[in-house]
Amino acid sequence: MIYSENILICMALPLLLTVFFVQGSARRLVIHFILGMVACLLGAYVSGFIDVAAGFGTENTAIFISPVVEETMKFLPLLFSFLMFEPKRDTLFQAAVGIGAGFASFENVCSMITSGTESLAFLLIRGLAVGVMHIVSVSALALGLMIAKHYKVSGFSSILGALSVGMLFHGIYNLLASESGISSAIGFSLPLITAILIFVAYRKLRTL
Amino acid sequence: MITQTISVISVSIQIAVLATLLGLLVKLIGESARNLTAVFLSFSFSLWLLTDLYWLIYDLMRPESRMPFAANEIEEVCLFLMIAATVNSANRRQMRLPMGYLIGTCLFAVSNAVLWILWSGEIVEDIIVGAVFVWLFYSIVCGLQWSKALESREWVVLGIVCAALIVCQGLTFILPENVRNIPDLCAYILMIAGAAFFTYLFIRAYGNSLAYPRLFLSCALVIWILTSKYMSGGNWYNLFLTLETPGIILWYMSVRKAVKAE
Repeated sequence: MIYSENILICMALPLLLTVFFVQGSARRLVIHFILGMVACLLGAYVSGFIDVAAGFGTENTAIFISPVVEETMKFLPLLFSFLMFEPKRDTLFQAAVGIGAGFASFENVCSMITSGTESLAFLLIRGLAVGVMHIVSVSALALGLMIAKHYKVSGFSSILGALSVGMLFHGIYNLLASESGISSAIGFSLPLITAILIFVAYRKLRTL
Repeated sequence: MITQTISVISVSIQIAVLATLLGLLVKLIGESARNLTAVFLSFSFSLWLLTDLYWLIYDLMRPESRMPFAANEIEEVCLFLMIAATVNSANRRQMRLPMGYLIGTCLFAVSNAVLWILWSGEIVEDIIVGAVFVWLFYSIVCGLQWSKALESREWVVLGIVCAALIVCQGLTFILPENVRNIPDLCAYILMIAGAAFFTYLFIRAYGNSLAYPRLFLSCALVIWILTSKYMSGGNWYNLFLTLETPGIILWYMSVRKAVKAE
């Protein structure tokens, strides 16, 4: 058992202090990074509750329920930012990246403390895959919000569709990474491939 | 085992087709100055592709176990909403359906949801999907009405087929086991007849070069096949799963034609 709240406090405090010393986009990025970490902790609470309440079992909860919960938790601060501040495309994308990076960092730290830090190679692979996966899935959410904002019609469907894309992508990653061997190798490389595709799509969207 | 292999092959083909169509759609979005219908169709195809992938990976990794509640069930609801958004974006005049059509559409969708509940026992999930199904069917019927894709007597034929299908499916729960095969077979014949009916209407609209009726009819065909798939099991399920792919291709081609015509 780890005290993830304590870890969060230790990680978030220096970042919170940083907020007072930086301005503009750097401040926004730091704030969203902290929000991402908080979302990760809250997501763990909700997943834990579902595990106990529904009796799915720890493994099934981690593979099948966590993607739904975690993507929703990442989506909420992004949606709040989108609805309250009506940010520009770049600002929204920056917020998404901040939330994704914060979420992934906190999850990595907690995972390392739980499973040990002996194997650098494994930690690098896992860290990179999880990092990219969370950033990619939250970027997909941002992309959906951008589309909803651009077209203004069927906004509900677009937002829900984007959330669903994030959940499924996360779910596929979790499913592949749940077993060792070739499936986990595909799982770990999947986020990187998708990141490249999203980057290309984003560039294309900017030029259209 | 053979049934499972066939479904894995069908889904793999569908994934390849959807990935190709997605690439073509991105190109179409660029060419058409971000046409709304093309954007929503690309969203629908992305969701469909991901859910197919999820199902395929699960089936290959855990072939023996039944899939628990997972992200793909939420995706299913989102996919239907997105398909409805695609249909509504192509519908230029949002009109109110006459009461008869409205009641018929709602009854068919609700009956489907009731049958799912009777089959699976997943009450909450099936009610949610059923509610979205009502909206999806309503959107398609509005589109078909607006584009005048069906003549009055064809609507009557469609209504009779839908009613007969629900009755046959309902009878499979009531009748004793030794005669249950008869309504079951009748239901499958009606599902095939419905798919053939929409295909005939699509070919007729294609011959008359009517862009919008073709678009709505191809979407109706895909949704009919999808609904039939949900009502089927075993080899029949695989048949409708396989038929979905050409339906999706027709849908893409119709959207492309309508978008290019604008």
